[in-house]
Amino acid sequence: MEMNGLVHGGRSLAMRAAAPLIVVAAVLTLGSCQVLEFIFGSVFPATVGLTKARADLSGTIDSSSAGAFNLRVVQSGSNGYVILVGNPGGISTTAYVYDLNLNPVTTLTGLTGDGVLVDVNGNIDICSNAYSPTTMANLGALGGSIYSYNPGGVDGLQNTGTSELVNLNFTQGTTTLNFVSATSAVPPASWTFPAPTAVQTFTGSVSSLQLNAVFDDGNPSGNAILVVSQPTSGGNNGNAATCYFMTTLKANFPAGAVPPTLLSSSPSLDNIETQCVGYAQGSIIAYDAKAGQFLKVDPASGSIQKTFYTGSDMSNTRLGYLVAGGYFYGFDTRSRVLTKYATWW
Amino acid sequence: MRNIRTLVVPVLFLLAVVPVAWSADARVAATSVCVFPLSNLTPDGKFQEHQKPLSDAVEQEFAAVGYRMVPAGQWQAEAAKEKVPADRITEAPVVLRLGQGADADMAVSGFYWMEGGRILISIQCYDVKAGTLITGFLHTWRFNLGFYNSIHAEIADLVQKVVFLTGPRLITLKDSVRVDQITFTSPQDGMEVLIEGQDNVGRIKDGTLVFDTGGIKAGTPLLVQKRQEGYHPLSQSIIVAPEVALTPLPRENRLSLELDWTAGQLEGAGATLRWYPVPDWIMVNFSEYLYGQIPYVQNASLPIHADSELLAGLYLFLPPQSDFRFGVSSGVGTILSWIPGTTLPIYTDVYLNLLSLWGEYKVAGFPILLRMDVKIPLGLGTSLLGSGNVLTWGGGIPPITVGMVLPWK
Amino acid sequence: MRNLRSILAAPVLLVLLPFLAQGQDRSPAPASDAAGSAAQPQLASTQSPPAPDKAPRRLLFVMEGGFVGGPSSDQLVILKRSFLTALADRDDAPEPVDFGSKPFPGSLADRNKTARDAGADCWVLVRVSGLGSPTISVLSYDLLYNQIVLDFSAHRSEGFSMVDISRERWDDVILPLLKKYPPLVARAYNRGPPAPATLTIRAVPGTVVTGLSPRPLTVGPGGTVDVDLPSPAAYSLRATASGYIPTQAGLYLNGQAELPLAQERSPWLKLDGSFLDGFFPGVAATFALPALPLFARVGFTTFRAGIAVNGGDNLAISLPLTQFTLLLGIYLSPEDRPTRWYVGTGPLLRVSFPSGGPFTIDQLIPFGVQAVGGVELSLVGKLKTFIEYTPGWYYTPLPDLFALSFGNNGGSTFPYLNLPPAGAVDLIELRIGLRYAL
Repeated sequence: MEMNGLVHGGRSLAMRAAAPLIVVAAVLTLGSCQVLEFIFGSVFPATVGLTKARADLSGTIDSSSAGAFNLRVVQSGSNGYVILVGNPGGISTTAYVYDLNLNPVTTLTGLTGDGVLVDVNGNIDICSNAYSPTTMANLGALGGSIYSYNPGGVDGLQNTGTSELVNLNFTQGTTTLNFVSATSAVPPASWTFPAPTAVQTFTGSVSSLQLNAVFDDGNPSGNAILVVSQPTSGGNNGNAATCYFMTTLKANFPAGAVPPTLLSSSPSLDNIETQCVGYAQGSIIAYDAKAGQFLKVDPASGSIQKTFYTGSDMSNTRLGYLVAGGYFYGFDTRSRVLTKYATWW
Repeated sequence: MRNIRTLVVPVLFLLAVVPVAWSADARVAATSVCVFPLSNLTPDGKFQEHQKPLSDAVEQEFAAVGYRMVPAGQWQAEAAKEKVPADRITEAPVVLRLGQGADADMAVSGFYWMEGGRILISIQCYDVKAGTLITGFLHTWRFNLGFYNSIHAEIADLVQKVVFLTGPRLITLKDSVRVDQITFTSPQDGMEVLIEGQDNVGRIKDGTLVFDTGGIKAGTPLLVQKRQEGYHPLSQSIIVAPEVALTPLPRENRLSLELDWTAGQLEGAGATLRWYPVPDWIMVNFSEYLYGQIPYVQNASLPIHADSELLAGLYLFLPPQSDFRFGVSSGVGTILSWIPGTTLPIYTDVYLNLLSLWGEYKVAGFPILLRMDVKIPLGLGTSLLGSGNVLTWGGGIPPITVGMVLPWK
Repeated sequence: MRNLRSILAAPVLLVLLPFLAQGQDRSPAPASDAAGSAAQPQLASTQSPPAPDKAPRRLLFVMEGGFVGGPSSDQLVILKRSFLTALADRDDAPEPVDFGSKPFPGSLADRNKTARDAGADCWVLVRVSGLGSPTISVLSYDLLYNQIVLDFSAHRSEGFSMVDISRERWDDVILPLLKKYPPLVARAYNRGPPAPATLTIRAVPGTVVTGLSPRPLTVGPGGTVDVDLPSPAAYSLRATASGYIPTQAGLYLNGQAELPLAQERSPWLKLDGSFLDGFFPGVAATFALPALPLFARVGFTTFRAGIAVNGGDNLAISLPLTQFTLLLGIYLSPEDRPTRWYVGTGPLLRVSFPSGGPFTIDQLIPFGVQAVGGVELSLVGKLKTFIEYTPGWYYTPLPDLFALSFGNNGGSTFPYLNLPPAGAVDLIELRIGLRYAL
């Protein structure tokens, strides 16, 4: 009877226990999937759950060279390859070739150029040589070298008939797009690489452009999708920029029929990592560095069809996609690890 | 002759006792008594008609014994000055004040309350000069024909009991009161008690311990040290009194179990074993946390992680008995990751826990803790996270853990 | 006629009898002498009572109605009377002083003063609230022992019945009061204040002892000093001597003739192990200078092995650079405090030990001056932990190169401040470590 303190202690205990429950309830009512992804996010990024295979190249490629490599995913018939190709020292190009399960196939050195494509014969052309799609045996040198000016996508568009559109690039400081139309329906040594042709100078509010990705919709008489942006000066945003998605018939290139207004009439999205754009199942897959999430974008309208919160910073990862979908691949330039991911959409 | 014989015994008797009775008479006659009318405390002033007869009965009994009665006029003037109603003089301070004003030796007051055919009467007799109560009664009667006889008898009885005695000397606050013995009480048997860090008084046994003070002044502040093996020593400030309660000591913890739940690892839970080489101050922790990554997409697998960590840490500043404490620790750990449904190996992410900062608050005796860890992966062996970046979850915040500590040994 | 006289004799005798008995009546009535009251009672008994061996406590009794729904003032009068009557009925009960119906002060200090002024040595406030099922709350303070002794509430399931109030025993209030206020034995109050006794303090000659007497005591060359202090009583003293850690001690003086003081010598040498800026290890030796709380410290820090949290590839940093420091400082807090602050300043020299070559004075930053402000915290035994803030001014013959080496933190060089023509200040340098006293 002499102490009244216990009654007070019990009451404040009840109030303290209620406080965290109120917080949890408030959070759950927010309802949005992204909030849940945020709350249940892990120290391990969500991409770990998508990981199907990994190849560790940290012993082979050192950290200062990793940024020089592009990631290419190519399929010829039933044979598919994941190729890391780059010229870190500026002297000669090396290509690391893996199968679609990231088992190492071969390492090619001493190449010239840095592009990869599947030609009309079905061969895998890497830089300056052609390789057998089944055995990766060297079928001989090409008549020239394939160069790549786009971190993402493909380095050649299979045009009508027997020609390839290769070496696409913008003249530095302009909006003029150039390409080389090569006839590739010949043995590799006989490829002819004429001088580059200007496709078009695009009009619009920008004065210079860089090529971020080139996508082939898989149909020889179909479309090419170019992802372009203004060259950045490397500020705090890294490589994030406003990207334009320009879709046009591949046949328009050699015909000189690409409209100059294509840029101003194309949809765009902001804050897109220019090194991380891909194409699969008819959609563009991009990475919004600011929001930290992957986006599935309709190239025709620029509208976002789906998102995925990655839980980690993917801006230093080069991404390559199987056009038919199913898997995509990433090369982390910091850890130099090549990963095969299941699709998230 | 026969007439004289019948009177001899009574006369002789009277002659023997008259001198004694005469001196008692003189004392009584010298004492002035002020009788205040009884207050009618019955609600709504009912039964007011009994006030005069009752008050008169009291006055008559005192007068009959021979006390010198103070006339009403003497105290009525005083009452009017103090604005006290004449029929409400019943509380001791008022009675004593008015009695003093009327220069009386003794003051008599009282009240009555009638309810349901019964009457409650209280009468008190005060020594005005001493300011104390001499005697009194509080009693209930049935209000019937015999009542007034009973009340007269009771008042007469009261009058008999009026005796002035020299009472025992009362201590005043001016005197130095000493306490020769302090009985320490505590629920904790076996607790050792030291006075001012020196005299070891002994151990609490069956809840008490007696300390012979030698006669220290009452109310002196003293510092008492309490200690017991397996408990943290504490000091307690006490005031010297015959009985002093000592608060119990907090137990020394050598082993505790912690249950953890970490943001960034919410689909799982962990437990930590704390071993204290220095109880409740320095600790070595071994922690194990199991969690998965619930997938949000159809094609994903459910990676399972096991985070094992070894830490050394210490509490800072605040003593074990505080409700709130905080501390820092540091250590090293490994996260084993298994991704089922793939041919991927088991990954090991070794990390350095640079700084773990936590605060604990006791709720119902159990500390609830909140902790933040700054962990840096080292990228050793086959790792998922590589090396370098501080581990974060959500919006770039290091993992925050909520936990509960269960003292064990 | 005969019959009438004998008939009359009996009643006369009967009437006179009470008065014969009264003179010899020694039934103890609750009559008491007020403390401090000068007047003697008018009627004294024929026999003087024996010297008392105990004295009842004097309790100021205050009863109030509760603020909401309490008894009326008339009912309160009855309840008070009933309580006092029940109290008077018990053996060894405290003497009540009826406070009446004035308002009782609100503050503890005022309440205590009111009780003392009324000649009481304790007070009780009984508050009755509620009519149907009253709550009686009791608060009581003991002025002799300066503490609250009762603070509780008792609940009644039935209301008070005024007409039956004489049956109310108030056990739930009176029994605790009886327990808390037993009569004082004579020994407790008839001895006067504690008498002084002589205490001899033994300590290192020259020790100054404060806290026992108004003026500090100094221990003589013989190692003792005498002081007269009331005993038994409690004291707290502090003894300081040059070359010794100050001693703080409590003392319960009760018949001891001597008090030896335990004094520990000040350690003259302390060894440190520490990390500069979190990760660069270093060691130092501190020499205490006698008499004053000054110290001199020599130490070195190596940048050969450290951990950098830059998020890059390499966590480990290794530079072939070592820094030698000399520090002169002063302690600001006394040595016996668990938290001890100090400040100091001194030069530093940076030396390179490149692999394969001889050691050279660092060309970029050869020397500098540092200021130190730190705090030592006792851990266990002779081991302490410390944290220091050590900003430094560095001399550099190559200021532009020095500025470039800071990197670009969004355009500013913070926390480095460039002070042309040849210096820079590093504002954020922190050293944390352990210090062991030998």
